[in-house]
Amino acid sequence: MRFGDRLNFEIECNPELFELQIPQLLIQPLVENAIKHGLSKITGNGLIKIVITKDEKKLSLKIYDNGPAFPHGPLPGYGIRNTQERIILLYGKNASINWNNTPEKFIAINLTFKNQELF
Amino acid sequence: MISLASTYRTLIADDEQPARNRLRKLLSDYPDKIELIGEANNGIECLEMIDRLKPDLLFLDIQMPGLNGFEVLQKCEHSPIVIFCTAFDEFALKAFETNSIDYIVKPIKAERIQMSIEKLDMLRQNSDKNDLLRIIDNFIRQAPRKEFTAIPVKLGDRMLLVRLEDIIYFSAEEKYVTIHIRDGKTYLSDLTLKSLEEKLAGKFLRIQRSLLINLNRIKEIRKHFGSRFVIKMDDFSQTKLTSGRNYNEQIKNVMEI
Repeated sequence: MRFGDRLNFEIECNPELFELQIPQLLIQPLVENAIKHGLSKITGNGLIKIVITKDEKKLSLKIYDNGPAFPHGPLPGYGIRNTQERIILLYGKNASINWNNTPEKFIAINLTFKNQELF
Repeated sequence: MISLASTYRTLIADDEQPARNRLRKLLSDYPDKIELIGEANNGIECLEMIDRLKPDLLFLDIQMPGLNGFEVLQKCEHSPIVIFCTAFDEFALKAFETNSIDYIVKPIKAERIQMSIEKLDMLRQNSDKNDLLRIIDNFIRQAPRKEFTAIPVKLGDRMLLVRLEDIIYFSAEEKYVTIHIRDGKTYLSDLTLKSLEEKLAGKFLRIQRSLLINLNRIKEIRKHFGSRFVIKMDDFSQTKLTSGRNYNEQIKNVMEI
């Protein structure tokens, strides 16, 4: 609503993952960040892309946006911090977060598992 | 009452289409006062339109991409009457209790617009660019700083966010900064002590060239010889850190000792 035509989004997810369950609102704060600190800061059209992939070892949830790069240094806010705490509580060492600015800006939640048993 | 003033040539600047639509609709109730001459959907466009179209009146959003509303006003040459339309907090709004401008908190109500329109002639008389710039300056200085909550640390291909409240102190050795956690764990960071000191001012204190400590994690301070202090930290091993001679005054000021 707020951004009208400026907010474009794509979701890439293999249909075989449609039945997979992840904790409620797990990626919501990350998508919110992508809008708040990414898309809302640029004058052109914003693109948010969610890419979900799974191989034998790992499920990866990536959120891309075309806004300004993640800052280097201390971070304000609680979005990523709470997300990290939640996944560590739920999945312990099998969960991690990482982010990148180049070649594309994204933040990812990675869940590794053995024997496809995690979910 | 017949107004002697001609219509106000008016520009709307807001990055959100629905907000512009709403304002446009509300302003259409005042055809004898308001003549809409343009709409800008970001700060850069707004700046260009102000100086090209030279509007009498500008409805200006503060949070816009490109340039924010304040930056637009600092850069533009032409100075219209400004009515801020903002979702900003009350603290910010205090700055605008002045006659040279008006402010409206979004979502905009028809009655509030009516008040602004009624005030217009008064605003026109008192409009003074310097006054406005002074207010903006003041506001920017008072604006709350971002509250930092965590430091990202790279561990191989993963990132770990270390919570500020878990950090006892930072130490610097040559190029690297080590983060010391309450339970004795340490992490390496590629940030500099200087940038951390600046960003974490008020929460962390530099006590010597290579140490930055968490003010909330101090257990005990003792005087040491040669204008120095020994500071015992509130971590598991009760780490003792010795301050530098040159930081004596700074420590006394912050600790009020």
